[in-house]
Amino acid sequence: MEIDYEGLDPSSSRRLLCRFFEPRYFILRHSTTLGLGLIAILTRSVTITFIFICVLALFISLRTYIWVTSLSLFRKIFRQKRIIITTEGWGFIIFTIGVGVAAINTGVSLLYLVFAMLPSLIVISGILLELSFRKLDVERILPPAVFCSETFEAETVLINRKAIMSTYSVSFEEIPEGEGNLFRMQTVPYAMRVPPNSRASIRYNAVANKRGLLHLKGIVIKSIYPFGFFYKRMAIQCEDKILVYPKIIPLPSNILPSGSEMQHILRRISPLLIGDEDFRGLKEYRDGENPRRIHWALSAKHNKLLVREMEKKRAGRILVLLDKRILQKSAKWLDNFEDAVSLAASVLYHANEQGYETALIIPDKNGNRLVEPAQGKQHLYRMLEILAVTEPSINSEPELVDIPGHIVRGSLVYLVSAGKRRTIAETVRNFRQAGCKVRILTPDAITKEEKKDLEVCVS
Amino acid sequence: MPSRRRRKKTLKYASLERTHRLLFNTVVTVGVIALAAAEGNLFYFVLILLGVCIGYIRAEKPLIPARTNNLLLPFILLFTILDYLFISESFLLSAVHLLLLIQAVKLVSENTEREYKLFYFVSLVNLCVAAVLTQELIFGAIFVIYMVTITAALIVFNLLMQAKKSNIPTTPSLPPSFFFGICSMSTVTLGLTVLLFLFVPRVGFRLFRTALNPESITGISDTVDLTESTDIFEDETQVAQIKFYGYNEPTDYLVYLRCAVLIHYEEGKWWRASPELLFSDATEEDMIQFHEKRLICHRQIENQRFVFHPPQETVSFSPNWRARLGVQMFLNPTTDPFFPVIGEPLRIEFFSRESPSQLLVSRMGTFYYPTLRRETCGCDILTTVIRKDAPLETCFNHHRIGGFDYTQLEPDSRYFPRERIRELTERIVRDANARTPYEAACTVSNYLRANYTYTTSPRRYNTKIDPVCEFLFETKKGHCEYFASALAVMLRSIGIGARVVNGYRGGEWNSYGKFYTIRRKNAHCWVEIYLDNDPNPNNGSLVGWTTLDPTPPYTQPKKGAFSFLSDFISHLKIRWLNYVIFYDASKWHETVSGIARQGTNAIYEASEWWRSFTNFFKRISSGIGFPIIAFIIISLGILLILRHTYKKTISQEDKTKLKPKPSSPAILFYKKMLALAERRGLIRLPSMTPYELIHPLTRVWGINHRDNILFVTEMFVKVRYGGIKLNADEQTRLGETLDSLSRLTGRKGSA
Repeated sequence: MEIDYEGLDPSSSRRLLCRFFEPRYFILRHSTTLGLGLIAILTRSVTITFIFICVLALFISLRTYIWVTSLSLFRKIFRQKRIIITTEGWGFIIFTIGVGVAAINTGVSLLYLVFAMLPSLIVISGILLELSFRKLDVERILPPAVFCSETFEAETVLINRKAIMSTYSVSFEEIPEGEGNLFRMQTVPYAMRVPPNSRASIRYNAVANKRGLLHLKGIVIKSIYPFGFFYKRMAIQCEDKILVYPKIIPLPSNILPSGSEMQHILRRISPLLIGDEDFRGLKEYRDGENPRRIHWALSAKHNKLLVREMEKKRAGRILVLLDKRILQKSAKWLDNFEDAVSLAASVLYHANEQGYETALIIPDKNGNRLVEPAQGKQHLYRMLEILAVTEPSINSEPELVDIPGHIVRGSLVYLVSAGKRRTIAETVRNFRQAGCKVRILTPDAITKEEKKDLEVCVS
Repeated sequence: MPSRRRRKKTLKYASLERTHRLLFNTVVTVGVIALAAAEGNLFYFVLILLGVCIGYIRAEKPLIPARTNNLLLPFILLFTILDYLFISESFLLSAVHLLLLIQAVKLVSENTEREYKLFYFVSLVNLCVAAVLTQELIFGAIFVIYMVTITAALIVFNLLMQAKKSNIPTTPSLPPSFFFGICSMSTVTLGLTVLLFLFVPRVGFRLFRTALNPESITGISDTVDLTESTDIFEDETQVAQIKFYGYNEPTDYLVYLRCAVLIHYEEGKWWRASPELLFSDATEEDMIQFHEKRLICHRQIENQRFVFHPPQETVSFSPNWRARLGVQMFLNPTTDPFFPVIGEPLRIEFFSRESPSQLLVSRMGTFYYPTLRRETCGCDILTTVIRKDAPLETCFNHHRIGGFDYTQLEPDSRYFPRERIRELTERIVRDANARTPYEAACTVSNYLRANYTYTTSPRRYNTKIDPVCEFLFETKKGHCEYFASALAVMLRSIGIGARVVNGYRGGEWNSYGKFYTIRRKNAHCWVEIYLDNDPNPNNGSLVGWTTLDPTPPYTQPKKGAFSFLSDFISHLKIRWLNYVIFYDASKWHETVSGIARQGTNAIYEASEWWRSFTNFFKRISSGIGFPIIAFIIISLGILLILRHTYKKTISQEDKTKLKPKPSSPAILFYKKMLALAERRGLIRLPSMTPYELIHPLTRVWGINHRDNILFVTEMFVKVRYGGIKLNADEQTRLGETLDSLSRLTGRKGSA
């Protein structure tokens, strides 16, 4: 099991130390010690032997220190803490030293008294800060899923388990796994006071900058209480995951069909697909329902008001097919792929908003991923979940997409791709043969909104 | 009634901003009070106080806009230069005054976070400068108040700034417990401060000396001039505090502080030296040097203290005649060159910062402090005084000591009827049948005390006659100088060597601290005669100069109703001087070694106890005691484990309490069922009741599951609205129902 030597919130010195003990510096470390040892043996010098022993002891003790402090048990007992001296703290320390020198120089007892007060304040500050951080826990309340690049509200609960003492002036920040810019807090969550034996709930706005499963490793609690001389950070292990849906972008108005256009498409395929006049069933009359739909005969028979329930108007179906092939694993292609996923998600999102039935297909050599058409938020989130975790296929062959006829028929298919259009021509032909209307979308077509003519190919 | 109660509750919580403003103003004020008290200058204190009041009143709308206060800077600088040149004449003070002026201007204008930090810094600087300038007890009180207020102010300031940065409201919530916490913290800080103060090593290079201007206390003149009528005023100015080690009761007979010794009498004046060289154009300095040769005391440095040993030229110590006496003396700043002593000092140890690099003593026994005393000077003196039970009646008197004839008097004349004085003195001595010089001296002294009147306002009526003679034969009224002069002249007239001494006699006894407070009104004049146990003057005396005081005896002054308060404050001042102001390297060494000694004793005692315990344990464990001890230990172990388990259980319960209560299974199951149904396409309007949802749910899952749906709905309604708890069977059935519905939903169409 790989040990995280740096920890949740490492200081720069610890990072340096951990880096020094990485395998790539193996030769440097061992050559230093061995070299010193050889020189000591050859020269038989006491001084060099002493230096060799010191260097060896130093390396061993540092390595042991890093290893011991990396153990999870150690971290559970002794949370990772750092103390940084603020600018005011440095100024105060310098002033204290100055007063101390003046006291020593002049021998004035009262100056010694003032000097004694200054370090006392520093010591008290450190003690209070340490006590303030004891028996402090955090809990996160996160939304199960958020959209990429969209501000969401999260909540962190600070729990003060101390019996008597309150915790004052704490703020905190999240520690995401990976690069720091994956997760950004837009507001600084701050709690002025957490009373003893109580919880303080702090809300903050944040934004996730990359889709996928965002792993939050822990929380760093910070405080400069009481005097602002020291800035203390304590990292608490608190793992959580948020699913980040792809970014939803506004689509130009001519991407999704209007209601009449959709009806026209459906009618062209089959008038039966529209139907809003089919009798569905009877149900009891409730206040507010159209009294014209009351079936008087049956109502009299059953001695209660019954209304006719009709079939809903078919809203139309939009099928999104995401081609996840890219030519190479370069930054440009990956960006293109992200844009494509975002585009696919946006189409599904807006289509769902407009009341269309939506479906998602992602061809894959290991098996196509298909979400059958449906309506509603839950259905949408299911599709967004799939899109959130989709990874690109690098330089793979085009796949023939085999989709059940009843899904394809009557659907408007959007083929979203980050790759070149040539590679999806085969798929387009298949859809056309199935009688679908196909639109091809690439991210470039959407970002350049000024262009009236989209790069679409409509059969 | 409820609204009043609610209002009361909100009043308990102080607004953060208002609290900070109050504390900040207090810190600034206290800082400037410390400086004003040390400096004795109220101008800046008034200025800052004005600034604080205006700033507090006009907190919302400052008097001076932020941009304008920089325009005042040239005027401030000009004022500071004038201050340096004409008022304070000290660079340090002028620099502090500059900061105060800037602070005063900033107080009435808009302030940012940076400026508040500057204010706190300036208040600290004020405190430091005040610490350098003063030694007064009041500084201690100001220091404690300052420490409490700056602690609170910095905390509240920090909270306020953080709250402002985080855009949270600053009006509510500083509960009373917060201030209680501040007080506790300040107490701990005070304790730590005292500890650090005691244990920080004292080095003291003493390169920088303060430029205090001492109050010029005079009262001891180096001459006594009886030719002019001078009144004695009751001046309460404190001169010194003295404490006799080992004496806890008043010992007024010991309190004779010798300052100036006067030996030569001529034309109504007493001099420290003989003016016989006046006519040979010698200067007074030459004269003093010739007759009053000053010897340098031997100096040692012990634990960074100057210790002086006077040259042993005056008297040798003998326990039969003299007793050793330890005296602790605190001398206030003065311009007097004299160093007051009691008896014949053997060793003088200065423990204050104010201590001379050199101490001089004349052959006559006058001690000189060569530099100006700018601060209170503290010293421990080991001296010898003549024993109260010493047989002085058996002693001889020598009148030629150290090259000077102590029977010197003017020749007989109309102005100075020496013979008349001699006859009077001889008659007094004869009538009293005094046989020895000491008896004769005491007789004459008693005679003067009994037959002459003490007055603080003597008058000269006959300037044609010597003032002493006028006192003796005509007025018979005078103050201590007349009495002393008369006694000295009378003794000299019959051949007894005597001298007049100027100094201080008596003082106020402080029952708290067991010390005397000497004031200017205690200035006195008395006579000393030289006694020797040996008739041969060349063998050196074991007795020495003996005090004779012909003035009516000193009585302790009557104390007022609130004198106990002033006594207590004086006592506190002495303690303050002893344990704070004069806490030097030697005392530090004593403290540290004392604690080390106590620590060593404690460790030794602990080891002894442990040894005795192990012996006891060995004895009893060999017999039947072992099973008993084993049983006790095992029982204790079990108790500890039980206690630990109990505590853990309690903490788990507490954890549970802190967590929100989980919902009932019925409610959870119903919600789960709805969630599953929504995944299968159920559209639920918010207005739909549980029973209205049965039909759509049935449609989703099919008619075969209607009973299950009904059951879950009924259980939900029972728990949610009826508050009824489900039994085990019902919960089991709920679980099974949900499982079957979940299986139906399955993974069809799911991610």
